[in-house]
Amino acid sequence: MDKEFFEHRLNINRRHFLGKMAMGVGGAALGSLLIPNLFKGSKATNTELPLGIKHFASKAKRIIMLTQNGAPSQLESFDFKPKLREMFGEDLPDSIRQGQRLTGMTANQKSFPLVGSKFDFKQHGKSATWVSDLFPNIAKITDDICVIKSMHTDAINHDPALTFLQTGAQQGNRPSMGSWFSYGLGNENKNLPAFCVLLSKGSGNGQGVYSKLWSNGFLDSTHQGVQLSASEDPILYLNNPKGMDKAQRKKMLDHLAELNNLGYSEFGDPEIHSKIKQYEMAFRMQTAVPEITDLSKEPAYITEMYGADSMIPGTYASNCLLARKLSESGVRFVQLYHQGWDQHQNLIRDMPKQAKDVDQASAALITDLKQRGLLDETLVIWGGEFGRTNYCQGKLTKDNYGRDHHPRAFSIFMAGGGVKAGMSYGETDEFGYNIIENPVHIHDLHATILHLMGLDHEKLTYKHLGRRFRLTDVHGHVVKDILA
Amino acid sequence: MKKLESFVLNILFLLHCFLVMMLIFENSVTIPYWLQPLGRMHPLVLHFPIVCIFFLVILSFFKKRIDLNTFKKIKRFLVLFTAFTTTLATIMGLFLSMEGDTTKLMILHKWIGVGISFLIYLLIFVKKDNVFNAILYISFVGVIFAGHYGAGLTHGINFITEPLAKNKIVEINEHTPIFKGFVKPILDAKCVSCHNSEKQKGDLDMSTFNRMILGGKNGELFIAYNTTQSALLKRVHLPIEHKKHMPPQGKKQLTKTEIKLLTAWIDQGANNTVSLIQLPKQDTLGLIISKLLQTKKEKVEPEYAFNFAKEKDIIALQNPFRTVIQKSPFSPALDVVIHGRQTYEPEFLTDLAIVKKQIVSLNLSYLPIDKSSINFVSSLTNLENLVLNFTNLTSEGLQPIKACKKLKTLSISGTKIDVTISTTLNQLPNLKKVYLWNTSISENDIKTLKTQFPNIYIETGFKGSDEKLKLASPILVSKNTVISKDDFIELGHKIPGVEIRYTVDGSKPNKLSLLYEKPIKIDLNRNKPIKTIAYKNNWLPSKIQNYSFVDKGFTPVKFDVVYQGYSSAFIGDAETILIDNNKGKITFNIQASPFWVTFNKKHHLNAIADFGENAPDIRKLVLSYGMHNRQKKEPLESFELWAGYDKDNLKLIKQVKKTYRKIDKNKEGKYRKIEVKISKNKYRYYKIIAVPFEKEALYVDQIYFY
Repeated sequence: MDKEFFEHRLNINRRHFLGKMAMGVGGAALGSLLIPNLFKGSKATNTELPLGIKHFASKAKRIIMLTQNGAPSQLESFDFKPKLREMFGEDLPDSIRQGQRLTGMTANQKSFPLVGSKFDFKQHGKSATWVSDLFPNIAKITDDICVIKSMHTDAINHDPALTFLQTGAQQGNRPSMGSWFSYGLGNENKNLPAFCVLLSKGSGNGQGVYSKLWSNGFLDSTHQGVQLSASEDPILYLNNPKGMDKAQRKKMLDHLAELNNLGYSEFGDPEIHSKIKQYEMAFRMQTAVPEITDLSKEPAYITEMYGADSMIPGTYASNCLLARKLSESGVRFVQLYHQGWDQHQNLIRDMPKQAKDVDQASAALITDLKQRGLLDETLVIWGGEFGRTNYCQGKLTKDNYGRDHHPRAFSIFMAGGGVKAGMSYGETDEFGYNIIENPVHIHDLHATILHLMGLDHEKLTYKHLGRRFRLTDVHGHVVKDILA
Repeated sequence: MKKLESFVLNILFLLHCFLVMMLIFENSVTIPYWLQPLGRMHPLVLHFPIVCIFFLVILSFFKKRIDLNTFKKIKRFLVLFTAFTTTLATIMGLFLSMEGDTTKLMILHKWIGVGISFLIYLLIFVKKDNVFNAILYISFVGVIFAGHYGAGLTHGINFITEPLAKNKIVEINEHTPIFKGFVKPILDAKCVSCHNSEKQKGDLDMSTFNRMILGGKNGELFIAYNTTQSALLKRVHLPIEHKKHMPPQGKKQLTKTEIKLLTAWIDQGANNTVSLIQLPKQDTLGLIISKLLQTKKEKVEPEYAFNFAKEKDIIALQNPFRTVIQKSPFSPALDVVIHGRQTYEPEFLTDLAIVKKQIVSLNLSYLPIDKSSINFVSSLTNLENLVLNFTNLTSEGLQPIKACKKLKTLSISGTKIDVTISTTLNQLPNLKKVYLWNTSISENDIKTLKTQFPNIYIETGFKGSDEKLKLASPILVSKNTVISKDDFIELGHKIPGVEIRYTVDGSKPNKLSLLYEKPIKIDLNRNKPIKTIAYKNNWLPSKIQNYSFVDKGFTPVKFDVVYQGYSSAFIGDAETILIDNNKGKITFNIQASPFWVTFNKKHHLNAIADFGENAPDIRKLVLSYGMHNRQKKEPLESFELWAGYDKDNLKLIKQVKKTYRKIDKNKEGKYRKIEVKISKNKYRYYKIIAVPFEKEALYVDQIYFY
């Protein structure tokens, strides 16, 4: 009898349990109805915004980045420190250095003799911006630019620092800034790549520039930077092979597209479609690119503006001119590199040469954009990967010195694209060593650049290896003070 | 009754599972619009649980006065009803919260509510009286807080105390006294914590202006108009390690802008009533304050009166030559660019009629636009920004755009417009900026325009410089510098109209030297460089550029190399590089250059040149190699030249052994070579072996046969 009772109770419990469980599952299922895409595995959520359109309206549409590779000295360009002249040859006080790390090149130096700029500084324009005599043309446009004197970075050597500046990470393999914009905003002109790269080299000590700097990282390969070379074929393999004309080429591509479409209907791989699109774009580029890269048709006053070098392919001046033409034609991000700014020694001999290479053309680029009414929608950024030390590397003499790498403080400038014009932002101490006001980290710079282009740096993400990546990783604040 | 109870229990279980699900996947849940009214009924339903829980608490006090059976029945019913309504209210609240409120208050309210829901559910299963009461009372306290926060969400957190608070927050603007709006907040943040009515360090109280002017034990805090003698500023400017520096070391310091502001305030008279509006225009303090006020104003997106364009229309309008972009997801304004002079068709523009209202920005630079195109542009009533640079437009052709009354910026640089453009500008009331660079409008006319339109910014850009610029040097169009005596040398210059002068005898070229007109030939045996210079009117002459040429001699029919070199980006190309007639230039990256092959002791140079059946009469062989910037000593240890008519039977004709010695590059040069004279034999095969020293690399750019 007891046993039957027990079993009865057991039955009730089991039935009860199953009933309850059904209820529970029902409740959960009801909830799941409110989760869209729960079983579709799509990566889109309501917090993500559509690609190809700005997150919010902003002025800037395009960027030209003039990377001064090798790190120009801020103490001979924009950050005037008369105190260093007074203290010529005196040792850098420990209270200023505060035990900060140095590179292997000067860490073992017995003393750190301070040295001020050999070149004079003057205040220019209504904004009274300090500019050294090495940059007479940039000095003329100070009312159009915003100098940030309080940049700082994490890396102390060229490769990691440059990679950090370009990709937001010191190791390679992350997408370059231009790739992020290509991914986030797409092409403005569909006959040209969204991200172009131009290289030039000064006479100074050259640090390498590698293609990893304009890599698409984990983004789709269509976002990779396209390097334009200084030869007659600025884009390699773009021209038709010998003996093939445009009509033939078109016919061949049409047939190839048919074959590819067959392949697509069989395998359904979306990469096939993007391949077809890329062939078509390359075909359109055959007309669009020569129109742009042919500098010989530029009128004479353009040569006068950008300088005599502007007609010699591969120089910084001609790259600036080309950058303006590309940008004007709707290239989202034009990346220039000018090598040779690494003045460890012989700064007095080498830096004027470097400055001469870039001064006129950089200023001309900004003036040229301005006179076409394009400066409001084009952001121009000029600067290196870090700064240089306030003390001399190697032997200090009356008329020669060098400066080592200094990531704690350096200067860059920006113009156009919704940046406040005629402004100096941030300040370093009187030794030019530490930042005392409004520091701007590389991540902050990235966040600000994205903001100027109408993108929220926290929302432009790409899911890779199980997490959402950003250009600013988990850092970055928009520098609101410099927004116009 | 029993049936109903088990039904309610089941429903409760179901609802709680649902609730847990909602909480876990909160971030991925989207509430459909038809469920949102349910969420909005939360403020209605929540009154049930509040009253029920309150009633349960009251009931717990009357246990002994009621018949136990009745008490239990009432309690059971009440608990079930409370649990049901609580859960319902919670779920509804959760729905409501997903509409986007994420304030701290919201989060607090939400989690207390959820907690109560689970606690009340727990009550159903608790048998022991004291445990039951404990949970009940905790829930009751929770209800008070959740209720308070909830009310704060709907009515504002200060709703209850609002009538009591006298001081309302006033917006800071140009009428606010500068002391109250800008100076006081700085002092409050950095000084008042030590200098207030309770704690008066140095007998100084800075909590109000009136107490502040009394000063402290060291006398007056500041002297109006006197920035050098005011104690406040003196203390601030002391070095931070100084005992008397204020704020003391370790406390939050004043920023530069704050110091500037305080200085300017004292300099202006240090009073507590003056406001920005009362200050003269160029006043230092006024400038600082207006700057601060400016940064306080947050930018907002412009609002438009028109509707969003249809998404499918925007997509349909995209083509390879036309881009139509919505300004942002929240803005209906469209931005349109049309590219490609060669591919342009008028339909690219007229197709845009379906989004006519939404276009605010249009760029037609460089396009061959005609009258009908401009007429279409004039129909874009909301257009704000128009770019027509380098089109063929004239002032007359541009006239129709006077219909675009909202136009703010107009770029017509490089067009054919003239000063009569003013009639069109006159009819554009909102115009702010015009770009007129590179047009035929004279400087005087620009001045007239500027006075006629004082509110329009007119940009005329670069007008040429008085400074004479230096020309670039002539370039070598025929790139090869390793040539045969029949090859032409072609010079050129990228700037049209440049005169190239040159010499071939090693003398300095000048204005009277040979004029370059067509490609030239030179005598390679003279071994002199061509010296070139460029001239043009109004330009400074270029630097002199030298071009040296080397005779390329005979090229073998077949050239085999045993070791292709090492550590080069061009491994495998040694067979081409060594006989490609390209002289290498020594650079920092010589090992990665396509003009040099790098060898070491193990992978040394071991090559066989085959000149075929009719071998030429070769009388000399030159091995050209270079020294890397870092190399200080002679890199080549030994050199052997073998020759013969049969590949397998060669004889040694020359052997060179070098000593490992320091080389003065300035005297001896970093470009080095070995020359071997060969007697007249017309050999078919030559075998070259060159081995570097153990620690050195050997960079070879070319092997010449003469």
